[in-house]
This record gives sequence, structure tokens and C-alpha cells, in this order.
Amino acid sequence: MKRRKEAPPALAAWILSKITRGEDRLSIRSDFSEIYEELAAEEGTLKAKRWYWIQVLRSIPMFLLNHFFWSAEMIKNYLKVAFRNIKRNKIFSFINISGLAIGMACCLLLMLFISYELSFDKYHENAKNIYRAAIKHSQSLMGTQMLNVTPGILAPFLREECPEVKTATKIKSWGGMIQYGDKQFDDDRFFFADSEFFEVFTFPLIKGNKKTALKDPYSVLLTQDAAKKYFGDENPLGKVLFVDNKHEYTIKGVIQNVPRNSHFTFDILASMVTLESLKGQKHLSGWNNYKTYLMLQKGADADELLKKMQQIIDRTEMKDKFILQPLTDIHLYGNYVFELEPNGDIRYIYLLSATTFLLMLIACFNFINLSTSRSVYRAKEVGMRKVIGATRAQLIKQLLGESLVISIIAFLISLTLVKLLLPWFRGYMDRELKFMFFTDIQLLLALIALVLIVGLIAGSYPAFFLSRFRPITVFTGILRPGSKRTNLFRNSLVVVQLVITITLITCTYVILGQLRYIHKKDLGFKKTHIITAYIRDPNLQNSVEPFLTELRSHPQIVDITLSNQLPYLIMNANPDTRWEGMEAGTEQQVFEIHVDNNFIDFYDLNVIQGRKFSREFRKDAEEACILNQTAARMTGWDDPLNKRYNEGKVIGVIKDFHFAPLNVKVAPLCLRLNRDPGEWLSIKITSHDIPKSLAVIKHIGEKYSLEYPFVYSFLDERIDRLYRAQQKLGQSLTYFSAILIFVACLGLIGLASYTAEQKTREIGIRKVLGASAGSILSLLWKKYIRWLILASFIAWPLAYYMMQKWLQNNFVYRTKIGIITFIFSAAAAFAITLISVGFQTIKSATANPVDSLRYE
Amino acid sequence: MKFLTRPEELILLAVWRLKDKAYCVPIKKLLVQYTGRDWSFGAVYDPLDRLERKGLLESYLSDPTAKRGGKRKRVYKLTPGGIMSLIEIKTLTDEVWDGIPLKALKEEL
Repeated sequence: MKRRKEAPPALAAWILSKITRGEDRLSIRSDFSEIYEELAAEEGTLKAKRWYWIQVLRSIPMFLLNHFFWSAEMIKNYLKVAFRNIKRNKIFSFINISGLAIGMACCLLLMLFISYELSFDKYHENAKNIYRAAIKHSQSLMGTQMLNVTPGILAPFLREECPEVKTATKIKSWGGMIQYGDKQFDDDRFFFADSEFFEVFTFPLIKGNKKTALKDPYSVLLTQDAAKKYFGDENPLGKVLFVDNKHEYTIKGVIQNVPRNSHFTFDILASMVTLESLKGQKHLSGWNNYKTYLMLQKGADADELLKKMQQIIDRTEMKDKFILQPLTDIHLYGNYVFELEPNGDIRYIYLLSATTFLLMLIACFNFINLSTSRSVYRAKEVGMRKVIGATRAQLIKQLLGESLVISIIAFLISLTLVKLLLPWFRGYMDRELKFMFFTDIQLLLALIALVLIVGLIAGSYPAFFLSRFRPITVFTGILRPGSKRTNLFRNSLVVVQLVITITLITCTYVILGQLRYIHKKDLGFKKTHIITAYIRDPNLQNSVEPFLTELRSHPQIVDITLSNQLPYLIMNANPDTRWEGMEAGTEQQVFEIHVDNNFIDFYDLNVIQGRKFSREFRKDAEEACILNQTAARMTGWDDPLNKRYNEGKVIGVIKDFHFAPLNVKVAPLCLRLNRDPGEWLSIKITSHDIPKSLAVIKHIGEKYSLEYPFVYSFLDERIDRLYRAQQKLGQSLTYFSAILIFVACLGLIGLASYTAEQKTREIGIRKVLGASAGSILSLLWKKYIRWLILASFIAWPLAYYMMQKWLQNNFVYRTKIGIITFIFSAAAAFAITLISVGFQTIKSATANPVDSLRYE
Repeated sequence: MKFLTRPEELILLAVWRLKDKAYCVPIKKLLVQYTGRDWSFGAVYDPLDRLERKGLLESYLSDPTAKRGGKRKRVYKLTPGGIMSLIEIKTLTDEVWDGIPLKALKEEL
């Protein structure tokens, strides 16, 4: 009978071959097959197959046990060796680990910051469908602007006539003095909102019913903190708050505190219908007083909606357009005019990410360089392992494992660093950052990825480099100092580090210079020794003369003026300006400020044509206008004097001054006399005994402003505060440069130590042959000088290009980038290298050749 | 004299009996036949390895056979050391068992 060749089940046979050791694999397989065939012949294929499978499966546990046991043994050995290596080269390990730890700590802080910034406003249930409406205004001199204001009728229109909109709400910010019993505050964030507010936004109510709370006029809701402030632990429901000493509002509910990661926060919400009785129905249809938010239906067409919304604008003569911005974009991408609160900026995040990435890069470069340069000392170990039978793959695994160990140690250190630095960082960034690495899954994963990537990438080059050693070269002691290729790679790493450092130094220098320039720049009006105060009390506003007279009676007070805004930040604008000879159909927005007769002298403004306001000309109060140069140019008149302007005529022209932050060009400005008394009081004081002047002002101010607190501040401090964001930038950059330079220094020190060790013999021989310490020094230094020069030539154009772009994009008034900048950065880099490398080189150059050649 | 375990002893004997054909499968069959118990592969391979490490057996890969898919078999052979141990065991057993007939043991029961 012809016997068919029975083959054992293929899968089981395959498992078997994977389990067995190479040598005996085939013979064992054949043993198994032989019995299988016999069994198949005697008792049938099924029984045979079953037997085969059982045998294979029974062999698996033992195999696994063995495998893991031996793997564990190997890992124990690798770890032991890794730690020994770290301990043996304490300096290098310290440099490596601290460089990585610093880089990682920055990465971690950055991760916390970014995830917080990205989380803004996302806690609302319908956050994905919420948008805000805003106006795109293209008619102003300052280019296209996004204005965060909308007409009052937009929200009802959206609700009633646009099926794409599920619901819409509008809010209006309001200021005022709020009072309960003897507690009074005027700094609460007070908003009017309509009933649909809670349909769009998710703000849970602790007390009260969110459907009815805002229905009636003079109803009000407080946040938990606000309630505590006014009522302590009492139940505020039903109680009454006094607003502006005039109106009573009943408390209808308490809202959970608004999370800090929102683009606007509030303390008190009042019902929008109150405005009807306060200001009449006309107010509700006021233009550009409200902020409107809407919630889209799923799948709605935004473009269709915009077209419908546009109808509202088209009914007027304005040429603006409506736009919709997603709620979640507001914090990072919305820096519209009239934002409720200052927003973050996506560019800041890009900048932070880029710099952190650079830092990490430098730390990794250090690691690579130091590890490969130490490789000479590990050559014997690698050779031995290869002789005993390690494969290249095993060696690579071992070395990668070592860098992972270092990475993990650095990571643990960075965690402690972050824990320590977090409180400071929180304050510095002005954000509520929490150490949420272990609670947020995404962050945790990012963290693990960071450690792995750093360890693997930084470790890969040394691993591949070291595992390439051949036992013969190692043991016969022919150690080449390094092939051309390896040296090129390592040297280029150092050069890249130097390039990054020099670029960063240059950029920091330029940025700090620009900030100093802004700080010092003459704004065109006097700003020192001036105290400004806002007169809150409306009674005082109306009868301000006694107050001023008493102030003037004191010798410390030099001069006083009243205006409706302060000259460093004029924001009121008239979009509907008309002047004689204006082209029909054009629209121009001109800024306006109302002042008193004294204003121009007080602030030392320069009248270049015509005259100032004067009491001698009685008609000045009604019709006199003074334009700035830009405004005069705008009109296109040859002689602006006595030309008609709005309802008045031009009596003079003053020199331009900066009434807005320096990143905008000076816009056209018109000065008119106060019709109502100005609310902003500017007081010039003598330059000596400032505390006394302040005391006088405080005393008199409080005397006349009985019901409202009298708050005042220095004008130049106010101006500085405008630029706080940029100052923050300058500060952050300086910190960053310092950290980066420190890490780069670490790398240079490490490299210098290594080179010094390598060259001890060579230097000893040279000295014996008669070289002086000086010539040795120059020998060692030549290398570094060469690198510095190369790096400088690469870094300078790079830095120049970047800084030019930055200055052009952000500042109309800017410093020039001069030769001094580049000389400074080169000098700084030189100094840094000197410090890092100097000690080592001097030590080597002055070493006694007897010591270095003792063992030859 | 070093004691061997029973399975080791049995395997040595099996190898001796099987001469050229002393590879895994026949050894296993022989043991099953003698002892009447099931011997797993591990029960055979392990002692074989141990004995080889102790130097009582040596092994070599035979030529490929047509039958088993052309794979080589690992054939075991007694070393002089192995033969010595067998002699020792036999001598010891004979001495200790000297004069004890099977009939006498059965009558005790």
C-alpha cells in the first residue's frame, strides 16, 4: 500500500521550531515527525494531530520560563553595567543627566502650559457648536480690523429668522458700584445677559432656576465667590443689591464659579431686560454695544447664515461684514478690538515650542557628543562582549538601554524640578496650571513618548557607533583617534550648538534693545511726574471746581488738566467724520479726545499751525477743532485753518504724538473742548518730595470723593503696563537664553575635558620637545576658534533675517540692527567658550609632562 | 562512585542496547516498552542532555535520511565513562541482590 507522506500540523511545527534552540532544532522536529507519522498510520490522522499539538503546547511553558529567566538575567547585567558606567564617569554623567533634565523640565512646563491654553472654553457642553459674531471693518486707516461688537438686534434676529441657529445670546459689559449693607465694591465684572445665556453656555446654578432667573428686570445672579464676598455664608437668594447707588437688583440665583480657563469671566449677571427700563427700548437696538454668541444646529451651513446676517448691515450704509468665530478659537486666535479680557496668542505658543525644542536638541547633541567621545573607554567592554558571543543587535540593545536609563533618571529629576518650579511658573505665566501629568491621559502618554524618544534618539548614534568596534582593533591596541567621518559628524554637532547659541544671543540682544527703545521713546507728550486719576463719583464729576481749587492751593501741585481720556491711549473714534472737500463715498475713522483749555500746555504738545484753545474765543467750546499732523494730511488741505470739520472748524494743528501703543502708526486725531467735564484728572507734581505730593493728593481726593474710592497712579507706570506683554516676552527670552547657554556650556565643558584627556600624552611629548605653555594653549584653542568663527558666520545672517522679519511685522517704530549687535554676540559666545573650556585647557597646557608620560 | 537516577540508568542501558539506532524515538519506545509508563519527550531529552554534560554519553548528527524529511538525527553513544558507570551499577546490583530469589520476596507478601 502506498503510504502518503503525513505532515504534522504546520502551525504547531512552526511553533516548535521557534521554541527549540538552533542546533537541535531540526533533529527534535524530526523526532516529533517520526512519532507523528507512526501514530497517524496506527491510530489515524486526527489522533496524531492531537498528540502533536499537545506535545508542543506542553513544551511552551518551560520555554517561556527559561526565556524570561535568562532575559531577566541579561537585563540585570545590563543595568549593573549601566550604573557602574554612570558612577565611574561622574562628571560626564552629571553633565549628560543635568542637560537632559533641564531640557525635559522645560518641555514638561511647556506641555502643561500648552494643554491649558488649548483647553480654554472647552468645558461648555456645546462648545463645538458655539460661535461668536464679530464685525470685520475694513474702512479704517489701520487696515482691516476685527471688532468684537455686534448690534443689539442681532441675537433676536438669529433666534427668530435663522433656522441654522439653535439659539443665540447677547451680553453687555457694565461697570458700577455694587453695594450690600456696608460692603461695597466697584471692581466686579458685571454683565447684562439675556435668558438664552444659559442655553448657549454651560454654567451650572447652585441656587435658583436658570430658566427663569434672567426673565424679570432688575434680577441678578452672583457667582459663588461674589456671593461670599457680599453675603458671607448667608443665603443670598431674594436679597437686594444696590447698584450705582440708584437701583435695586434682586438676587435670583447663585452660579458656580467660572473656570479660569475661559476667555471671559464674570462675577455678576443681570437680566438684559433691565436695560429697557434703564435706558429705554432704543438702547437695545443700539449698534455695536453687545457681544453676541450663537449655537449652530448640527450640519448648519455657516455661509448661508452669514449671508442672512449681512442683511442687517446692508440695511445701513456701512460696509462692514459679519464674521463668525468658533468659541474655542477665541483664546488663541482672537485678538479683536474690544475683547472682554486679554487673550493668549497662538504665536506665543509657537515661539515657546520652538525654543523648547531647540533646548532639547542641544541637550541631546551634548549627550551624543559626550557618549561617543567616551566610547574609547568602553571599547574593551564591547570587544569582550563580542568575543564571548554577543551579536551586534544585543550590543545595540544594551547601549540603547543604557541611554534609556539615563533618560529615565533625567526624567525623574525633571519631575522634581517641575514640581518645584510650578508655583513660580504659574505666577509668571498668569495661568492656573496644575500638575496634571498623572490625571490627564494625553499628557501622560506625551510624557512617556518624550522619555522614550529622547533616550532612543540621543542614544542611537552612540549605540551604533560603539557596537561597531571589532575585537581585533580593540585588543591589539590600535585605537585610531577617530575616523574622518566620525570626527566630522561630532564636530558638526558642536558647530550646530554654537550656531544656535549665537543666534539666540543675537536675537535676545535685538529684542531687548527693541523693548528698551519702546520704553525710552519719546511719545510726544510729557509723561514724567504726572499722576492720573479717574473720577468715579458722578457728583464730583459735575462739580469739580472746588476740588481742583483746593488741589492747586498746595505748592506741590504744579498743574492740573481734565480730559475724557488719557493721551497715551485714546480709543474713542468717530467713524463718520466729514470735512470740507472730502470725497463723497469715503469713510474715515478719526480718533477724538475732549480736553480742557489747559491740556495742550500741560502735556507740552507742540502747536505748529494756528492756535490752541483759548477762553478768549467764546465759540471755541462749540466749534473749535485741533487736528494732529496725520489728520491734517488726511484731509488733503493746503491750509487747514478755518476749514470746516464735522460741525466745527479747524483752529490749529499740533505735532503728532503717540496716543496708541507703538506697534501702530499714528492715526488721525482731533481735539475738542470738553462739553461735559472730563473724567480723567491729570496732575503734575514737583519732582522733589514725591511722597508728600502723593499724600496731599490722596487726602484731598478722598475728602471730595466720599462715596467712591479715589484711585490714582503714575502716568509713566500706566504706560509701561501697556507693554507688559512685550516685557514678558523679553523676560522669558532672557531666561531662556540663559538656560540654553548653560546647557551648551555644559556640553563644551564635557568636550573639553574629553579632549584634554585624549591629548595628555601628546601635550606631554610636545612639552618635552620644547613647546611652551603658550604654544600648547594656542594649539588647543585653534580648534575652538575655528568652530566659533564658522558658527558666527552661519548664525549672523540667520539671526539678522529672523529679527528683521520680526521687527517689521510687529513694530512700526523700531530700532536698527547694527554692527554692535553682531560684535556683541560674537564676544559673548567667545566669553562663554572661554569660561567653559578655559579651565581645562589651561590645566592641560601647564601640566607636568612627567605625570602624563610616566607610564610610557 | 556517583549515583545515577533511575531514568538515567535506564536510558544508558537503552542506548547500549540500541547501538547505532540510539536516537530519541527508539529510546523512548524502548523505555515505554520496559516500564509500561508514558515517557514524554522532555523526560527523555532532559536526562540525555544531563548525561551528555556529565560526559557519560556523546552524540553526533547522523546523515540525513530519506524517511524523516531529510533531516539529521541526533544519535547517542556511550562514552567509556558511561560504560564504566554501567559496570559499576551492574556490580553493585549483583552484590546487593546476591542470593535473593524473586520467589522469596513474593512469599513475604
